[in-house]
Amino acid sequence: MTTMLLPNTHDLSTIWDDPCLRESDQKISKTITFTDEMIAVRAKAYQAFQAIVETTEHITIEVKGAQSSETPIGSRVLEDRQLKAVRSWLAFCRIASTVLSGLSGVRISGEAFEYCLRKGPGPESRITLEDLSASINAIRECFSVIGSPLVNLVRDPEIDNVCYLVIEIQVRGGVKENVKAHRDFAGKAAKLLGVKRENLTLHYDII
Amino acid sequence: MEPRDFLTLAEKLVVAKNAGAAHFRTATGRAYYAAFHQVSKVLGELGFPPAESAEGHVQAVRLLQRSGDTNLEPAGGLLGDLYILRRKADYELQRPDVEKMISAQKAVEIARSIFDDLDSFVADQSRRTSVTACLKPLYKSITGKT
Repeated sequence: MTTMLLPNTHDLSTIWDDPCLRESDQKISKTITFTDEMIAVRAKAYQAFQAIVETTEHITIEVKGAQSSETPIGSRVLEDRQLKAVRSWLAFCRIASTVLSGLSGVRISGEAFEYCLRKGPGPESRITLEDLSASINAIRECFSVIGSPLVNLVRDPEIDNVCYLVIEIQVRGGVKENVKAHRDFAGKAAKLLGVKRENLTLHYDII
Repeated sequence: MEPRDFLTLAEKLVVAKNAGAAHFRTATGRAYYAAFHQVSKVLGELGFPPAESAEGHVQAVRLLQRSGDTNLEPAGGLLGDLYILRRKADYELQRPDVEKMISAQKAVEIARSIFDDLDSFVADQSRRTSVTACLKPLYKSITGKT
């Protein structure tokens, strides 16, 4: 278990819920202006992000835009890639406590992580990191999982513009008991995720 | 031909003498298509057939998962997971895990489980009525068909 100093969640939610960010989420705008205050809080969030990266080996995620950690005087215009990095930091910090519980020991590809944040379909059916965490918990309740689950974003080779989050695990036991566990998981996932389940799939290798 | 015939073939491939990677990958595919066609058949009998194209695979899963039936919704999840397994077996030739007998056995067992769920559903008139009422307003948005 990793121990770290987390930023004040109120500060983080203030940034995350900022209308500028929300607006940019929808429009994917080219630039966004941050105030001094926002940058200062963002820098604080970045420190927590760094702490996570430095102290855990469980999460793999692309670390981008280190230059955005600078704290300039006055307002600053961030480019798209920097904004993307900021989003990742903030989201990562925001869900840090979840990461350390439900997603502890889970390897998530950068692409899958981004998908959970915003690249999926509409909000109604997008799998969030919280959904992913709940699903991993359900998997652990149903299966005898060996090692670290791996989460990837996989594109359908037969259907254009369709992709899924695939949770891959290795499990102990026989075929029948694991298919029973799979059924149990399917029941739990249907309740947990509802229609979102169509965007999350499970692949297990029986060892 | 009945969808179950694909399942029978999958079962035979798994236990075939000198069965190897190609048998097990093919068995996985047949198990999936058995389940998929059975789902399509049952949904079609209710008046909600998935498309007869690649999109039909996604639609079949979606229709089950939005059926409002506590057993069909998980079956939709199983079908979606089996679809991914079939896709790995058909496309990802570098993956050794889908070349094992136990992987093909798993696919067959998942397909059987989906058949069981569908059989119990078909036998229950009240569930059929309920699912029909649930899917009727959703069908067009899921399939694009009226």
